[in-house]
Amino acid sequence: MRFYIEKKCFVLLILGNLMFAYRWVLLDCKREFPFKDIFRVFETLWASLSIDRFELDNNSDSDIDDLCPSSICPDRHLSITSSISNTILSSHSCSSTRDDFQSECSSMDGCDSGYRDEQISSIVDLNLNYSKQESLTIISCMPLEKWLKNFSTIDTETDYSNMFTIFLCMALLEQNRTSIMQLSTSNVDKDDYIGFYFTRLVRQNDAKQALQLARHYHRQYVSFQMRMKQFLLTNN
Amino acid sequence: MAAPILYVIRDEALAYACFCALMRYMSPLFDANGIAVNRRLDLLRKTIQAIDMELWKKIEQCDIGLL
Repeated sequence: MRFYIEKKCFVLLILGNLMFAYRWVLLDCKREFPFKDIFRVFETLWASLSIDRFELDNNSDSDIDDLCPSSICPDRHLSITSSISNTILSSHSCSSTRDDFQSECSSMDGCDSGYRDEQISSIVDLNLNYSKQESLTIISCMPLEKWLKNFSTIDTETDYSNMFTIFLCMALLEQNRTSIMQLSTSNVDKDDYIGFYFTRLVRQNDAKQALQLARHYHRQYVSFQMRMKQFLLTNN
Repeated sequence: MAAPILYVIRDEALAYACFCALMRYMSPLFDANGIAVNRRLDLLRKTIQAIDMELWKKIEQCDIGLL
């Protein structure tokens, strides 16, 4: 039965959509960003946590607490790989070689990785960025509840998948939203318009902006899930 | 995937070990039956639908051209 359902799902996907995103989800978007930005992307990805690793905070007024890894119970270890790579990456970027690293790749600013020392003001920064660039439609600025309400139907049963990758893919789509909307389907000789469009963009996407947007989504998602959890707890 | 690791670690043996560990960590995604990848794609589909319905309609429209 389970096999049947999954098979059906597979067929639906083949017929349906998102074949252009296959490479994204398979390789954690590695091919989409310039090489110098990959470090930042991977470090953020590996530092992000799946939703069940966040602990419920009793005074849930401050959203940022939910996102701080210190709220995770220490005995629950992350999978070995991610913690090892994180330690290696972060310790390396803090070491003495940091200076020549920075000279080589200016956008990689050392210890800044993911949530660890990110300020809450980044949401404001994000909005500022978007208002400067008028070509991008500001979807991220819509009120939190609106999309999260549609989102709550998603079952959070996840084995490997970490929502941050999904949000990063979403951020990539949003970055190129205007161009995608302008793609014309009149050319019949090309198979996969969106796929073709993104193939040209390989290694050229703006990692910093995409990560900011993905973090923004992830932050909303996590605080929403925490509130749901809290709500369910108090109701029982 | 190996290139960034080697670039950061600068030690082939260590980088190889890290790469193996990473591949083990990601192995569900490379499984032949594609369940994990498809679950992710499904999640992405739901996410697009939740966040940006207009964009989703466009994507759907483009993918119908594929059939």
